[in-house]
Amino acid sequence: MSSRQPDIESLLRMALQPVEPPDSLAERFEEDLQRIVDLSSDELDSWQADALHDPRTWVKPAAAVAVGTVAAGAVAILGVSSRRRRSQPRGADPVKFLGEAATTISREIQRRTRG
Amino acid sequence: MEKEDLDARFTECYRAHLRDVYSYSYYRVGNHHDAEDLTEQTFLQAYRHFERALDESNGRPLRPWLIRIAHNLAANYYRDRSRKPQANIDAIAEPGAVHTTEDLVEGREELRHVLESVQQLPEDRREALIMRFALDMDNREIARAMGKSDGATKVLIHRAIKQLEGIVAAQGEA
Repeated sequence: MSSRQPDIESLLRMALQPVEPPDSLAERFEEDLQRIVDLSSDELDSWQADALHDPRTWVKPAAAVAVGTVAAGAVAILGVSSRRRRSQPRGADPVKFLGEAATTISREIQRRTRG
Repeated sequence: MEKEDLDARFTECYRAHLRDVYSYSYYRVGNHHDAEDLTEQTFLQAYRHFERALDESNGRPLRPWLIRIAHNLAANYYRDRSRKPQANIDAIAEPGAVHTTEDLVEGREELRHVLESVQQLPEDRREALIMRFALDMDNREIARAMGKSDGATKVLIHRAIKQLEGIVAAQGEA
C-alpha cells in the first residue's frame, strides 16, 4: 500500500545522503595547493643549481623564470598597491601618485648607485 | 583581481562546496579512496581556472561549474582505467568517515535495492539523480553542470525516476 511504502523520491533522498569528506582530505589539498603556488620558485632553484649546464632542460626552467618574474612583478605591484591603500587619501589623484612614486624610486636607485 | 583576494575567494568556495564535490565523487566512483583523489583533482583544476570562472559566472553559484569539472574527471577516470561504477552499500563501509551512508542505511534492504538500482541506470540519468538527491541541486543547477537545457534536464530526471521505479518494482517481484 502506498501509505506503508515510501515513494521512490523519498527512498532516493534517504539512500543518497551527502557523504562527509575525511579530515585528511583538507590537509592533502592544502599541501597540493601550496605545491602549485611554490612550483615556479622550486623550478627556479633547480635551474640555478644545475640546469645551466644542460641546454636541453632550459625550456622548462625558462618558463619558471618567466612565471617567477611575473610573480615578482605581481608582488611588487601588490606592495605598491598596499602602500598606496595605506597612504592614499580618498579622492587622491592616481596619476599624481604614480608620478610621485616614480620620483621616489628614481631617487632610491640613484642613492643606491652612489652608495 | 589581486592574487590575495582570489585565493581568499577560492578558499571560501572550497569550504562551501567540499562536501558536495566529495559526495558527488563518492557516488560516482563508489569508494572513498578514489573519491578523495577525484575531489582533490577537481579542486586543483578549479584553482587553475578560478579567476576565469569568477569572471564568467557573473555572480551565479559556482557549484555547477565544480560538479562539471568532477563529472569530466570522473569520465576520464572510467575511460583511462576501464572501470565501472561500484557504488554499493558494502563499498561505503569505511572507518573514519563521519556520516557514511552505511550508518544511515544499515539493515535497510529497501535502500540497498534503491542504490543498486541507481547503478543500473544510464550514466546521465544516474548523475542527474545524484545531483538532485545527494546534492539537492535544482534543475537549473543540474542543467548547468551537465551542459543541458533546463527543459532537457527536467525530462532527464523525470525519465530517470520512472526507470528507477520500474527497476525497483521488478526487483520486488523477483
